[in-house]
Amino acid sequence: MAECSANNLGGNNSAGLQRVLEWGGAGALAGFLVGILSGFGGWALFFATLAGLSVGLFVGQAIAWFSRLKEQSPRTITMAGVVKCFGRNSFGFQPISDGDWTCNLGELKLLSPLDLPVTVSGTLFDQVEEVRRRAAPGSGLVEAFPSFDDEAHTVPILHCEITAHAGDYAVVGGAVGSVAGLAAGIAIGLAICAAAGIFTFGIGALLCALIVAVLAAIGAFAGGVVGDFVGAFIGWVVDELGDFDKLGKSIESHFNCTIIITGRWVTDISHEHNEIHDIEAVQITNCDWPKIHPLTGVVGIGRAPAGDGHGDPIK
Amino acid sequence: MDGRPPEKDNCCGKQTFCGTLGRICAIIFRKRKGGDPCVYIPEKVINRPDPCIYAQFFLMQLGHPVTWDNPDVSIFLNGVEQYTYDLTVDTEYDVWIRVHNSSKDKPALGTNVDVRWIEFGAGGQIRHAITNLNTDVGVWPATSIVQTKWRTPATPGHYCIEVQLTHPNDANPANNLGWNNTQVFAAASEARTPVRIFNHWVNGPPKAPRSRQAVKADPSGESRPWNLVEITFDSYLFHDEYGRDVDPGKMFAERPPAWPTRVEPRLFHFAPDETYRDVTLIVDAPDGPGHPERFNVTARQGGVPLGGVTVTVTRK
Repeated sequence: MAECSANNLGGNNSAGLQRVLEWGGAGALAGFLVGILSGFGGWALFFATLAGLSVGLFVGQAIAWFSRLKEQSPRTITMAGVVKCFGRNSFGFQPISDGDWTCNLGELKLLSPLDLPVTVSGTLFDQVEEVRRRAAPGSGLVEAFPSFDDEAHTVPILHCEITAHAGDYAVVGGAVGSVAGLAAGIAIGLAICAAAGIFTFGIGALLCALIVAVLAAIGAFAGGVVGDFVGAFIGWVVDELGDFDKLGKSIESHFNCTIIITGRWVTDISHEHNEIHDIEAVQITNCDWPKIHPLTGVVGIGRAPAGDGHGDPIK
Repeated sequence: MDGRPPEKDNCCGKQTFCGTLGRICAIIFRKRKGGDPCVYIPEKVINRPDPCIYAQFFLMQLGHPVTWDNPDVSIFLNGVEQYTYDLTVDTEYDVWIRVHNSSKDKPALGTNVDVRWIEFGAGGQIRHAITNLNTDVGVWPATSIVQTKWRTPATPGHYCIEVQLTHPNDANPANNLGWNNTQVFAAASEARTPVRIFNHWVNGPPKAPRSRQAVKADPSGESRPWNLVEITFDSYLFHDEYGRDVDPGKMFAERPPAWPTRVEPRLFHFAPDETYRDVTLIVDAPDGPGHPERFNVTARQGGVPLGGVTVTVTRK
């Protein structure tokens, strides 16, 4: 499976990665300081720093993940548009993938709310640009960067996503696993030291510190990876159970389907663009047309049925 | 971390190693860009009921012409359909509302129908409850007719009926609001009738919650220009058809004013604290008897749809 990329004009598309690395740095510093206070030196201090780095990265990943979406006001909007891309990120093993459904919606029309004030620069009455560019409170941006379906920035879109539990559970699992792995590594290291009976000798103390630090580092990293994987698997099971009978519908993205999306309007500070995330409702009105066909209006007033993603619904 | 492989912004700065590692990860986890040809979407998101009504504001946002004589809302007195403008004070009328459901799979059970009246014109802000009902609408093409009695207020006035549908699992909440705002008068040389335009933002320019950085860059944050009113008019007719009989091109075909028509003023700015302004619809009907014609007067303020009225001019 493949995701839909939002090619932003400007901005820092790696902002999310940078936030995680900052947490990693903080964790490394904490590991270093703990090592110093514990009397570590040399390689033991190095591995203590590494342990802190691992915990910082996994915990930071979770913090960055759950704090990346800044909610707009109004919270919920409804947009009509033509599907330029639809895909799903596979599985949910973070940070490689999050399992979310992603969609790039073009030929945009704002359907609700009607009275959205237009405040972004360089526009007049353009509510669609307001949706694409207004920066949410707490985002730290003057304006969100506009997204495009293509790298040449010729097809303006709004990126939309359906959240999968797999991604959420993976980052939580990684954070918990890393901390648990760190604790387990320290405990095992101390147990080895005690079993070897080498506490009381100077050389033994240095060796003990090294053993503890190495196992702490291994535990923090391995625990994070395992926790991430286990969390992704549990999340995948939750996703499957939530749609057990598979009574949903498919969208064939080559068919130029017009859809109406309702969901939470946010600024995603990981990519510094605006999105609808989480999509709460999708309605297919018609397909086989590159722009919003008048049939969308016909469906909207109940004179024709909503489509099913395959061609004209009333043929 | 975001879900993107470290191809360009790789972690170690060595394109060869980290780039290869990223590609291996991408192959293992099949992470490619460009979407999928066919994507399955869960039922809770894509398979929902959609109770709806002839929703003028929804159609306006799609760029379609509208009539304010709502085909899904009717007012009767002793079985005779009435125009909302000339309803008699302190009189009981029958209000009929037809609710649709555009889903072929999910019935719209427990659809809430909120019926209100507002002052005749475009953009009335004060809503007065008439009734609140519940109805079940089967899958498309089923519809449900909801009926209620309404006694008009004892004080004289001119009315618009507003219908708002709500459903907890609605596939499209943007097509749930419909107005019925109609008037009739006899033709004359330059027949004139006032149309009231209400100020949507009578308390001043609308403010949007923005980031601190955005506020610092532009402290006013004003919607530009929020108080400009633009009025359009036409003689669009809604041809109501269903299913295979629908020709979207015909259903939303624009139709210019049937007779020489103007609105004075057609453009204006609301002054601070101005609650409403009356504009004048002037229709120069041909002399002599003939078919009546309809004129839809629609207003926008700051680009936002305010509403409108449909005026029928008769020729006797």
